[in-house]
Amino acid sequence: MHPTMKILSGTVATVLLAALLALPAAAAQERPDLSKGVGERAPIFAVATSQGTLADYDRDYYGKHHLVMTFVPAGFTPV
Amino acid sequence: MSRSTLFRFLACALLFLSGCAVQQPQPADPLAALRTPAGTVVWQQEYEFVPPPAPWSLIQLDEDDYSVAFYHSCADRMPRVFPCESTMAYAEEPFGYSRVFEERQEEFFERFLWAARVNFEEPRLEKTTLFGKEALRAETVGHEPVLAQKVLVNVIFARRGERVVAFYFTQWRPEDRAFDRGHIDDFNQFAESFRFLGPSFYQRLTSD
Amino acid sequence: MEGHQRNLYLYDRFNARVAGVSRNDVQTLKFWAEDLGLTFPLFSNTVGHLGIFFGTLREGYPMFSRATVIIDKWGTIRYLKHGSPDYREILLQLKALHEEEKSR
Repeated sequence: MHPTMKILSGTVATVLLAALLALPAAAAQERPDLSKGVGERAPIFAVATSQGTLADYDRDYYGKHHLVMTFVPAGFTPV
Repeated sequence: MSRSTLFRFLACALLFLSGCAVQQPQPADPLAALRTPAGTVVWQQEYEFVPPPAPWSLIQLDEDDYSVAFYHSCADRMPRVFPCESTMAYAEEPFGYSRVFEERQEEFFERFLWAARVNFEEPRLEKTTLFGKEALRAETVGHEPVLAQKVLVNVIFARRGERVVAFYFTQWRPEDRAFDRGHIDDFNQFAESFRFLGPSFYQRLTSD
Repeated sequence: MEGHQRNLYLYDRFNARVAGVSRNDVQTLKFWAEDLGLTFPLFSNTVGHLGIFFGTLREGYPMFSRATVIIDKWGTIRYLKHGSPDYREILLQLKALHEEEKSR
């Protein structure tokens, strides 16, 4: 390899490495900790359901029922 | 590397390897500490039963599908026959959801032995009693068509409080071998000897 | 999920409702519910914000981790546990909530 090429490829590698290292830090800045814990107010949400309905927390549960939600990685996984 | 370091390293390696080679000796009777003078066994402070006689042996797998289970191999009698084994178990939370026996057995056979890929024949149902209450016995044979194996299944659905509990019996054989129905007598004796030592979690939960 | 279905009649007595949550699409969850014979809804949260709210969506990982959360009828999170559901603990929590509800 020509010496100039060697230097160039080294520079490219360094820049790439720096970019890769910077990635997690940048992602962490993009996603602040929004998680809520016991004792905090639950977020307002509405999501589609397996029953072809819209589950609207405020309309269907708030002031009416306690709500248990179990999070699973994906359908057809054992829980 | 000095000679003493090398020696220590070799000693550690040997110790590690010996752990792999030597199996822990099985205790002669794993139920010994749980036996009562009356010949029964007290299990998890919750159940009392007469365990099936040897060569039935206790099995403990890392599963929560059942509360207590026993295994009977026939490898000694029929060494070249595979599969050749029987199991029996008590399950606090049998597959399915309904508290109505007839519905529960249908749901049960949708899930039971699902990982073994068997197709069950239509089960024969028989009303019976257990714990002085109505119970339901279901017997069927499941077939694994690809491996040419079959399994005889006998399940007793019984009641504990308002919930359904169950006793399972399975016996695996190659498709061209006969079942040994004598083992079902051991299973029946086990189920009939079974007692609850107190109210269940669910009975306590709903008692007040 | 089977444990929830088996306990539905008790949840009913404690004025509780139950749902599963994953990032699958509605159609997949419909098939899964049919396969298991579930009569309660499975929430399809493809975007994943519910997982972010309840700390079950690890960064850089596409799926939720297992966790169970209980929100009381007044809108406050009362229980949050990671891992497979502890059905008995859930029932005890709901019983306590129901008693609180009767005394309010």
